Amino acid sequence: MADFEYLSPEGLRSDGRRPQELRVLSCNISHCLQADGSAYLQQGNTRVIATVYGPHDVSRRSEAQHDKAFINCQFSMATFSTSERKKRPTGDKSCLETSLALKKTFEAAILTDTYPHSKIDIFVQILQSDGSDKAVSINAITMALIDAGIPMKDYVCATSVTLINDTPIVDLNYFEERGPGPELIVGTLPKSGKIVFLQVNSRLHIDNMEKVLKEGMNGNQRVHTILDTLIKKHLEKSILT
Amino acid sequence: MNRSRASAISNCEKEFTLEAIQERKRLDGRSVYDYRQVFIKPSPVTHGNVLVTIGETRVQACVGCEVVVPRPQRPTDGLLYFNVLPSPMAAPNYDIGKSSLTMRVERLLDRCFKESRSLDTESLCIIAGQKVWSIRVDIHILNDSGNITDCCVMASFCALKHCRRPYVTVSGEHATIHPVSEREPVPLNIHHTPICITFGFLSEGNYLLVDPSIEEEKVLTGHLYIVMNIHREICTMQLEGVALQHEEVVKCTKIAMTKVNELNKSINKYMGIRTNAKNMDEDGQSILTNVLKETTLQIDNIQTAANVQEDRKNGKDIIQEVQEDVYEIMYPMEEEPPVTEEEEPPKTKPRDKDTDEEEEVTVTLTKDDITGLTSIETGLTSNTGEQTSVNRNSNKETSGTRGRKRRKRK
Amino acid sequence: MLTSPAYKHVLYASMVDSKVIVLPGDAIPLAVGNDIKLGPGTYSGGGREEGSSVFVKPGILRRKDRDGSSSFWVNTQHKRYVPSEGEKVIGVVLRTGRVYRVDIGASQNASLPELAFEGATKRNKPIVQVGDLVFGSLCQADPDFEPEMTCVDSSGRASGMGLLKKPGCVISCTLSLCRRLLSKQCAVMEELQKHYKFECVVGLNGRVWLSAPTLMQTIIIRNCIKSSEFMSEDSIKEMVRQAVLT
Repeated sequence: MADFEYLSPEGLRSDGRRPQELRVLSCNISHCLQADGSAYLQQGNTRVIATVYGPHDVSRRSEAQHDKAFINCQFSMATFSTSERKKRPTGDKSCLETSLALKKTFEAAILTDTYPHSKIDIFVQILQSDGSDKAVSINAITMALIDAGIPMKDYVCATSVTLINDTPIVDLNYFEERGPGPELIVGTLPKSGKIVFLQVNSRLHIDNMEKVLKEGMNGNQRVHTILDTLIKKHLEKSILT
Repeated sequence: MNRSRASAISNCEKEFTLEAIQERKRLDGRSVYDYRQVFIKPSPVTHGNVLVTIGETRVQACVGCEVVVPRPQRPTDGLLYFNVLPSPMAAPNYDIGKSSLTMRVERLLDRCFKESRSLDTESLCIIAGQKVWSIRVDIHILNDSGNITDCCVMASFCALKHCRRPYVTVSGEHATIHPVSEREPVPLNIHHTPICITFGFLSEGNYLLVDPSIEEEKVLTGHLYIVMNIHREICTMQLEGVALQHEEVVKCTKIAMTKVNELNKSINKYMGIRTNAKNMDEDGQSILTNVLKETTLQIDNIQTAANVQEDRKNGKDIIQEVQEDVYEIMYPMEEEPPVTEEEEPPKTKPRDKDTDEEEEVTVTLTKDDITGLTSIETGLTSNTGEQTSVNRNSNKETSGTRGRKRRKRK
Repeated sequence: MLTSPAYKHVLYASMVDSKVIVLPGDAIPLAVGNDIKLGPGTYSGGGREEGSSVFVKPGILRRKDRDGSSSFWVNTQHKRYVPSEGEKVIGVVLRTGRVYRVDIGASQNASLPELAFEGATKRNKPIVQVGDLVFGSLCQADPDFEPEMTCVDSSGRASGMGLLKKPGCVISCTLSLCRRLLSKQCAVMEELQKHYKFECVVGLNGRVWLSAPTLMQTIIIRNCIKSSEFMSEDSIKEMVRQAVLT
């Protein structure tokens, strides 16, 4: 009965999408003029802004690493981003955890050894939260890093997946994220197909694991195509004019 | 300042560990997928207080409960907090207070127990919107010898399993919390057993190992934490700092499955002692003798260490003597624990009644632990002291007095 | 003070060769009759009355009588290294530059000038990277100054010191085990030498570097040395025999 709401008999989701369909993705690159790289990314009703500074000198001596760059990542959620007003934008446990997870993800994706003794700052803020916050943040950071010209192995594209009636559902909105199914967030390097971010919440049976993961990775391929065209358009515009 | 205290790791060590893993060898003799020895010791005195060791890594978890007003958004849900407490006691580079380590582990525990609904928070409700139980799990990291995450998850689970909360009766709007002396306290509702398995990855994810030790952790580039239960469900999963092919992830979940089954068996073995009184005598004693063996070994080590520097010829005899002495010393200790074990049902019940309120729990726990440790140490030192003094008194009593007289004359 | 049992032990120990454990606070028998020299693990408050000089570290009492004077010191089980001039140590390079910063496991990092290697000139000096191991001796170890290392002896020769570039493994162990490994008759070393061919460098700061032809041998030797600390000679023999069989 409860599942009925998530997936109609015609196989459509509550917002009218098909199970594997992504939300509309639009992106505004380098719109923060002060930052070295920035991106505003909108995926359905989830809106995220990401800025990147660096590589620059380390602010504390203890941050300096002799063989690679130090990456600092700060994830925050605007107080007005959720339906209930948040007390503070950053500092709660799940924000800090997300910051750490994003930092580790981009440590694996950025070629950090090209800039020893330096630091790269990544700031990301959720302006409006409607599900898949982490996945959308990753996409936004990727765009900002590309804008800042920081060498990366590849794009990092991420989507969230859940399982309803044994059907994998991609790119969750808030309603679906709160639903009964497990939540899997997967971030990949689309060209090599390598996974750099993976998080599973709630119980997911091991037999369904592969199916859900595959679907997430397919979603990432589609995200990659969209981001790629967006970046190319942006470059054409900025270089040719 | 703290950074400098953690000893630096040289390229030489890194290369060596890496080379060993490439040949599928590990420094402590394990193979790549082997887990270290797990030992779980629930407190015989207080509920909800458990010590878990994986190899040399030691974590103690204790559970406290109190009645609070629920959150307005979720009026029927009880509260569950995890509080990871590292201290410089565990490793020199640890700080007191919150750090990225505690935060990561606390969030992982939240996801293990709350979001995967292992502990039924709705069963902690007393009167909707007014009174619910708030359960707090304090996790003390006593020694970090690698793989602290698995140890914390296991300790938290065992402590929650071992915990008993007071019995409550509700009539209308009125709830009565019965003291432990009136009604037997009740265990918490736990639906499944989340067990965490940590995978370490070396050199860009080319090599994988299970349950990294502290030496290996210094070399690792990334981690994969998989928390599963025995129903083949992934409760939570987290990948950090490494890029993997999806086949590798699936392979890891399969390895984790077998490891979870093994660990679940040992959890049942150790935790069964408390929950089923019938098994207590057999298992309880066997475990206790194991503990005793370990302590005797340690004492042996220290004793022999003291003697190694001696003349080689005499050294041999002395060590034998010392060992005999140690067994003598240990003998009374060996007798004691089984006695308490046998008497346990009558003895511990009244104690529990007194101590099951939450503040008491935490206090007795730490005391218990500390006294336990010191008693071994002091026992050792005092014994050696006595031993030597006895010898000396018997043999050289006269020489001693002579010496004294001589000095007086001077 | 005179009646304390600990005092008696010390006195007794002074008669026979020591097999006595002393604890902090035990008095030193100043009235042995001749000059007394106090070494590591002791504290002298000045004066010759009883109790003014005490042992301050736990361990085994050692005594040496020579030329009418007796010296006392305590062999202790320590992990933390306190620099002492002339001792040879193994360090890890933390920072490069004109002067390398080297972690020697002491409270302060040591400094190592880049020209303090055999035959090093401004034009021709060894390539040192962060994380490299160096074996050198401490030429300055005053508590008020930063410890300073050198990889040459007084005549400008390396005499075994320098960078440890060969692949090998590092063991960290207690300071007493390090000293024991260096002693002339060390049971583990003797036993291991019978079965294996390996190179071993012992730093007095609790680090041992070793290198054997194969990885498996290195691991075996490493584990033998690590676990030999609290073993009798017989059990060391047995352990090495077992290790060789596997």
